[in-house]
Amino acid sequence: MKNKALEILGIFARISASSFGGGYTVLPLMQHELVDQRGWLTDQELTDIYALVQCQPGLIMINCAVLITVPRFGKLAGVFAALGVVLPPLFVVLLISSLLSNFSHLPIVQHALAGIRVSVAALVVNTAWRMIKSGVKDWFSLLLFLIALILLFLDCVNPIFIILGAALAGILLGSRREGQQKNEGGKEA
Amino acid sequence: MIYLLLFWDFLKIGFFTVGGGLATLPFLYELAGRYDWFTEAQVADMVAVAECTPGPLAINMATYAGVQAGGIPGGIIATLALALPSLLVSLLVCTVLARWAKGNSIQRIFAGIRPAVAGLISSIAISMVLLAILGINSLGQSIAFDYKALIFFLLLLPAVFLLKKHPILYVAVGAVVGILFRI
Repeated sequence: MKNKALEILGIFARISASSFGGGYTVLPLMQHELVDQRGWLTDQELTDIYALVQCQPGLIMINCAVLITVPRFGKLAGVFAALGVVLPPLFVVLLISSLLSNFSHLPIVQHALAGIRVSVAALVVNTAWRMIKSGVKDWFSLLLFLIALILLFLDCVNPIFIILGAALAGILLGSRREGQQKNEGGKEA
Repeated sequence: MIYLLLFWDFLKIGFFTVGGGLATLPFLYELAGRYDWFTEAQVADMVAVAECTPGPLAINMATYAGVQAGGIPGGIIATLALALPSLLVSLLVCTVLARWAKGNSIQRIFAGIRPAVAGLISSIAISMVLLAILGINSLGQSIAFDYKALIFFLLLLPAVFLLKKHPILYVAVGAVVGILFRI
């Protein structure tokens, strides 16, 4: 158990230390480390958890870490996962803030960041493609996909309301479709 | 005393941050106005530092703000206080989910949410590509088109899709290419 706790702390420390620039940049990392390499969850489950944490108070990365680890390894594992997320950035910023007042205007840092932005853009394109493959399966889901994409792109609706709206559509249309399927099944029989 | 104040204020920020790191910004501006820990101009610096350091933006900003207010202990206290609500709320959500996850209506809800999240992430991906290559920011203003960024992106994208290497490799390559070719 002690080893497992340290392993979980290490995995999430590595994910946190590899992420630059906000919550969604962590998705490619989690897909690689947790879905592809360890098989802890599927792309679909990761999408579900990501949707949930969007509507939940707190930090996306910590919320994801806890929601992924607790059902599999228990509450203590969740605490270690959260610590893993917090420790690397804490140390880096403590170190940097005691060495330099503000290094972010240096040209070398700016060029490195511009390059990293291109890499992260390519990684997130790949993540989006994987989520489309696991989430968009029929006309109904394609419609929800397009509505969400356009609403966020035009920046007119808070993402929380998009997710809540999609949840509502899922309940209303889902029960209708299940009813239709039952009817069709009844006719065949 | 300053440590207690830091703990309490960042605990509150941790509870009221919904949907990502930049959501903490209004709270930091409010702190800058209420205490003499740091100025509003320094809050802008915090965003810049947070964007070029690894980890969640909100954690980066909390550590930096805490150090400005109360030195290294201040940084540690502000960071832990900010993280604590996420941990507590998530543990609670896990307990609730364990009871409800297998219900039919939860499955229907997620069937609706999955394509919507795919849409949200696709929208973010498009915005990121526009920003990284065409230099168009979220307000639709063009900053600078960079053909070097475009070439790098077109070379990188098939590699990301086909090679399936650890993402940190691409981040490191991006930093090196950015410095060498002055993207």
